[in-house]
Amino acid sequence: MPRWGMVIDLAKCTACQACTVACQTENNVPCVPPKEAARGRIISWISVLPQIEGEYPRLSMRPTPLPCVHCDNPPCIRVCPVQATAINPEGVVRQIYARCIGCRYCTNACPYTRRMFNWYKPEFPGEFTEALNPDVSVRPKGVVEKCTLCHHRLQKARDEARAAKRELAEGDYVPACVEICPAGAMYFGDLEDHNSTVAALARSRRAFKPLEELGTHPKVIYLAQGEWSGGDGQGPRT
Amino acid sequence: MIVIANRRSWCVLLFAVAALAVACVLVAVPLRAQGGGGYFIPGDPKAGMRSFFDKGCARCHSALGEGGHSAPDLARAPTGHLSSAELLAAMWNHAPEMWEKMRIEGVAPPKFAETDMANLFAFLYSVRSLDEPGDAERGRRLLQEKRCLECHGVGTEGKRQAPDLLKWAAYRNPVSWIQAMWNHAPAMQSAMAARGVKWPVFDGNDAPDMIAYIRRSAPSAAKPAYLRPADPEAGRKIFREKGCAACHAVGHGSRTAPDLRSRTLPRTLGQFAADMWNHAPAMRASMQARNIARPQFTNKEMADLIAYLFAERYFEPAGSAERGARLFQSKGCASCHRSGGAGPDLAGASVSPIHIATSLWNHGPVMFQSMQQQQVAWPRFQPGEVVDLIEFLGSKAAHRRDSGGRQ
Amino acid sequence: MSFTFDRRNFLRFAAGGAVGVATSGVSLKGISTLNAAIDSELVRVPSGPESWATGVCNMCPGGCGLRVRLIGNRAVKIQGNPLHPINRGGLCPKGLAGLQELYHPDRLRTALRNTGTRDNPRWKGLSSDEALGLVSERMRKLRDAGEARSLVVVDRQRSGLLPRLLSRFMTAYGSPNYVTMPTGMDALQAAIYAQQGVSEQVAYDFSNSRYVLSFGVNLLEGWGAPVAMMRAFSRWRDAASGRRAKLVQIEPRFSMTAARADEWVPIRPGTEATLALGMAYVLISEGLYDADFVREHTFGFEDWRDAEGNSHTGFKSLVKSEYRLNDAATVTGVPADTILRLAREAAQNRPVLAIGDRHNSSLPGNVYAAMAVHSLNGLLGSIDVPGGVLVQQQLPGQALVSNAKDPLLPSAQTHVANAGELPQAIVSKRPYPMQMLLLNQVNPVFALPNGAAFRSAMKDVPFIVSFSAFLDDTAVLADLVIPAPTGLESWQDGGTPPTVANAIVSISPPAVRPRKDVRHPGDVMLSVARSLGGSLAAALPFAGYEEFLRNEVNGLYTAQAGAVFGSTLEDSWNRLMERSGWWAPSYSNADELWQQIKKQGGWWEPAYSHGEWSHVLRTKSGRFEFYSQALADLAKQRRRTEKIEDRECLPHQPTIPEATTNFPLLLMPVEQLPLAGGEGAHLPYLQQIAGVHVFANWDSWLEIHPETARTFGIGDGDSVWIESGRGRVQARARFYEGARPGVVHLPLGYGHKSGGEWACRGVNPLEIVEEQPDPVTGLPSAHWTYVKVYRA
Repeated sequence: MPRWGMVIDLAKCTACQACTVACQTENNVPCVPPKEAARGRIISWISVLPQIEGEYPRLSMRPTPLPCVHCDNPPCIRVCPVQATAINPEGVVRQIYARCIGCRYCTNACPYTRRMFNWYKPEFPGEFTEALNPDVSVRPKGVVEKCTLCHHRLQKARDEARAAKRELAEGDYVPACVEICPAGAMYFGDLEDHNSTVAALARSRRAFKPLEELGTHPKVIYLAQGEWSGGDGQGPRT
Repeated sequence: MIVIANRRSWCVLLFAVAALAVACVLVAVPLRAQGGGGYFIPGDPKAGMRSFFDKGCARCHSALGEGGHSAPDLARAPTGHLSSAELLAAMWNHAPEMWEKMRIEGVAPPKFAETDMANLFAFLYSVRSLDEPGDAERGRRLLQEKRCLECHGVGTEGKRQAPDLLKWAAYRNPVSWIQAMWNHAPAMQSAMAARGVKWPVFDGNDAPDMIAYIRRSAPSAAKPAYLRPADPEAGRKIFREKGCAACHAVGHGSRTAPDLRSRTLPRTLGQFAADMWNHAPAMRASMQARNIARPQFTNKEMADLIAYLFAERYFEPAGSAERGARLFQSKGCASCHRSGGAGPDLAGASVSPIHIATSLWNHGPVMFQSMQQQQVAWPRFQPGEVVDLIEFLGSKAAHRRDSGGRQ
Repeated sequence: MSFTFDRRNFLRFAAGGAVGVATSGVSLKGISTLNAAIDSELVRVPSGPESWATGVCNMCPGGCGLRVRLIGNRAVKIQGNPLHPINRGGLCPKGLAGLQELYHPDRLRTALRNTGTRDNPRWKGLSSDEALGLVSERMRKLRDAGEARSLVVVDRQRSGLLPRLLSRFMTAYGSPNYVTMPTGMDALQAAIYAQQGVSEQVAYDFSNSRYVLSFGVNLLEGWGAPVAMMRAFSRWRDAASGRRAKLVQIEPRFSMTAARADEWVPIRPGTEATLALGMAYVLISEGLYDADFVREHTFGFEDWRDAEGNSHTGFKSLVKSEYRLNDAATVTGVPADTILRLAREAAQNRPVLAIGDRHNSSLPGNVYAAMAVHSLNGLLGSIDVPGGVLVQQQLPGQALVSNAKDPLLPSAQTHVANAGELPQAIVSKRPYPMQMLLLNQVNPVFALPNGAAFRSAMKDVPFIVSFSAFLDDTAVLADLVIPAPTGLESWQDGGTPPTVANAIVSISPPAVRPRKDVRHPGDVMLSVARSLGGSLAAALPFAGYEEFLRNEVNGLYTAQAGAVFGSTLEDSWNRLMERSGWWAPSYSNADELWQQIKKQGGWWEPAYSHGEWSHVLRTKSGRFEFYSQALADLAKQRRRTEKIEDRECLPHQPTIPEATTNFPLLLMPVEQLPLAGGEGAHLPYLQQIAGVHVFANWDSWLEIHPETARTFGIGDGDSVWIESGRGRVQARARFYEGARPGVVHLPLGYGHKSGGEWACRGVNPLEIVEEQPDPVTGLPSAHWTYVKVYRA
């Protein structure tokens, strides 16, 4: 049984936010109008957090692409009164829209703030409806939504592998954000498979998990930026 | 169909490869996209390049600059010509060093299928035959030293008695240059004789260096003119029809002129062509003596001819089974590889450089480990020893089969 | 090494989303009603057969290749073409947002004709065919009246095949006035011309460089070819490449590029030239420069005497006398030991790239600053070596620019004419009045630093045609607007993007049927040529743009070089072969090439030949000129004198104007990736992600340091006026620790005056930026501007 996980190399991220837009187009996430955006009601399953620290001129910024980290021990599940969210055997934390009553306990419980509430009926002005992806349902008003790791892509990849009478191979199933990353800073795969790229990277000395101390056991793992080491021939260690 | 008839074991291998890899295009040097023709180097160099990258060779090694830079560029080092057997020897001799480096970096040594290895060999052999862009500064000096500029001009430099070399600035391939020069060699020879200029001889990277300088001196970026991939089969025909075969042999012992499969001939196609130029006066004299017409070549013909000779040089002439038997003892192979020994009995194994290289990677690290435990030194092979050993193992296999010994 | 996430940041980021819970009025009782109500509101998405098409991104000049996912005839996703050498499957957010451009509610549906006046337009719809008839008629009349030369075309960019068609059209029509929009790299390009004598686009071998000194260039925020740049950045930090390259960002503001760099050097605004020359001082006095290169291939390093025996100052003595380490430290505010260390590091980590100067707020004589920076490349031997400064390869076929006689704009004589010079030429009616203006998908009124001048100059042009998908700031002043197709609806092509060395041609067929009555500008020009007949029809004998492209591909075939886009492996193979003089094409005739290009996305030249000095050093001396003889000639010609000062030809620090008591703060407009090139404000996807570092979206903001803000009594989030000598605009102040005290920043790309509600949000800083022609290049530039900021 695979355990899907993601590795994001912060040394390579350029903070371009292609992941954010790729996710929106792939998953039919509507753009909220400016007035609502100003109230912080933008829905984006993966956002790039700027994380600025310090004072001029001693400043640092660690732009961090943050999707749902798909905790192995997800706090959101425990607080849901109607079991509208669950973790599947492959480790993906999913939202079941039909069950969701919009109480937003989960949005509060998520320490990563990666759950978003649909305050309004989704709007697709003009012909924007034409661009909707038929593989993903459009969420109605009143439910919470979140990253699915592009689950529809997994289903499709499985079907294709089955049709070709072969096993699912590394790279067959990749979420939209990982696929688009122009800097190649994101990796995706099976953390259980010792030989997979993500498993190898997750073992690297630069690897760390976000808010690990909360005991959530996230499956989105970051690689620290590292530093230029004076041209001694050492790149960032993996 | 296979010309190297005296190498039975290789025939076996060649058929095996051809039969196994239907999809594998059989290619000769340099790349020929379509198959066809009877001259093969087993394996597809382009697929070999994929192996070079996919198997992790390119993490450290490069090939003409493509790939990693922490280990030698396999297209340049060692500098001389390597046949398949010598490629194996080089790989074998450095194997423990590579494994040690991989161990430190936590990388597992890659495993190979025999087709992968055939492709990799084809790739390495092909890139080794390519000429790199030269060093223009050195080229400038050479043009002076070789007294080219006493007749020719290069833009504002030099004289005007012979054509300005910028006329050919677009030619990127040394083979094209040599072809043009070869065709005019007699005229140049008399002009030089009249001026008392010594026949210039091009060694090593001389020709590409001079070409680089001429290209650099061209007033604007000239539209480059390349050679198309050559066809060794056509080259074989040319070799026969232009009368080369009258004096030269290719791996069948010496005739009046040098054997063109000799190990001492240069590594790249351009250097090989340059050698032809170097000997042009001698060849002309010898041809005149025998009343043979001096052949002229188009640049395609020249490329095909040299490609043919390179395809031939992939294989080495047969070694000596006797010497091989001695090596098998002296290198310490016999202490493990015998029936009942620690290593598998090699008798009866189908042996070819590619087969051995495949085994080297698939079983070598384990073998190396156990040798270290037993404090046996890793054997290293000198030029020519590998063919002897292969000859010996082949004859041993043949002996077993002949006497009905089946494994 | 590791770090903890800051939860405050998270909460601030997700502000509204999480806070509403406690106060909202949803009761469990109402849930069933809610669920019932939802059902009727569900958006149903029609399904259909899936297919994929190739595409060429036209959202910026970056030249990426696309793969477009289609469901039936609907385009539902844009991705990167994995075979394209520029982006290799990746794509930036702008490219992705192309989908919203296709289905945009504000797109023009039909051609429009203005039946009112320029100030008070009344738009009347007409069919594209009628519009085309009008264009042909006007052009015929103009030509018949012998005034063909008074037609001007303003094109979006120089690179690609459409520019080739347009310039060929102009030549055949009889006008020398083919003009392009400024590239934003003008000072840089002028420096390359001054020191290398090269007017082709400069290119940088980023991915092979080991040490990159960026003098305020927004490398990761839309400069050059954005995705190619991001890939190079990624390679610098790729463990597999062996060693990490260092990026040093020298800039007053903590930009995204500064944030992502290995070292940020905060510098006093405008003093980049001094820093570069201070580093040169260290390199020279410590003997760290590339002595071989300087000896063999440069001019004007040592003091020298000209033919008349006059002595001239060399670069070395200039630097040694005027840019001593401690002086440079005082001027720039960068500590001396930092300058020393940077110079030493650069010398030890070659190949080095030094890039600059920034362009959004430039000093008069900015070209000298760019020369100061480029001189570091000369000193460190980075000219035309792997990892260094290269010259872009030209596409096979005829040269693009035909420097026709008698052009309207002076710059056309030396390089491609720049649209920024048009207002002056139009208004002065010199050397002759302009009769007709044709705008190809450009918006100069919004994007030029002298946009306002352009707007008023347009009134003096009798007939203006704009090809545009939207009724933007410039189109709204035209007489005739012909709807241009967006990227996915028509044949698309792209040339070599800026800063990229290898020649590239991308071509793609239409992915979807056109949504409106659109006409490709290429098709329009070809049918005009047909209807005008004669030599024009003979020069462009193509039924449509597709046929034109097909013919260009024949030219690529004849070149007998290069390769169709392939995997990285195939590219390595082809490069290897070409470098050694072999060419192994995947096609055997032009038709096969065409078919493969359509399928794979394009053709390119994978190999670059380094060190062809006669090509990359085309100065008078045939060397890299620290002392630019081209600038000497220019100055002599311009002032009609033989007496010029050495200073006019040597890199130096341009004079920085002082702030005044009235206008105490320096305004530096900034560019950021989502709205790079000033384009993209009409797309919600991009509006949502712009300004993420100051938690802003959908609007302009004023970046101000908290201390500076407090001095002027301004609070975070206050609405403020930003006023210069030229005018004032209003925006919300955002405290930003990354803004240098005393300097404020407004983002570029906002504040359109036309083109739909989304595009018109925010303000355009170019409205208050002082603008004046550069004294050296003569090109209009967004000038150094001081402002005051006060609460609205």
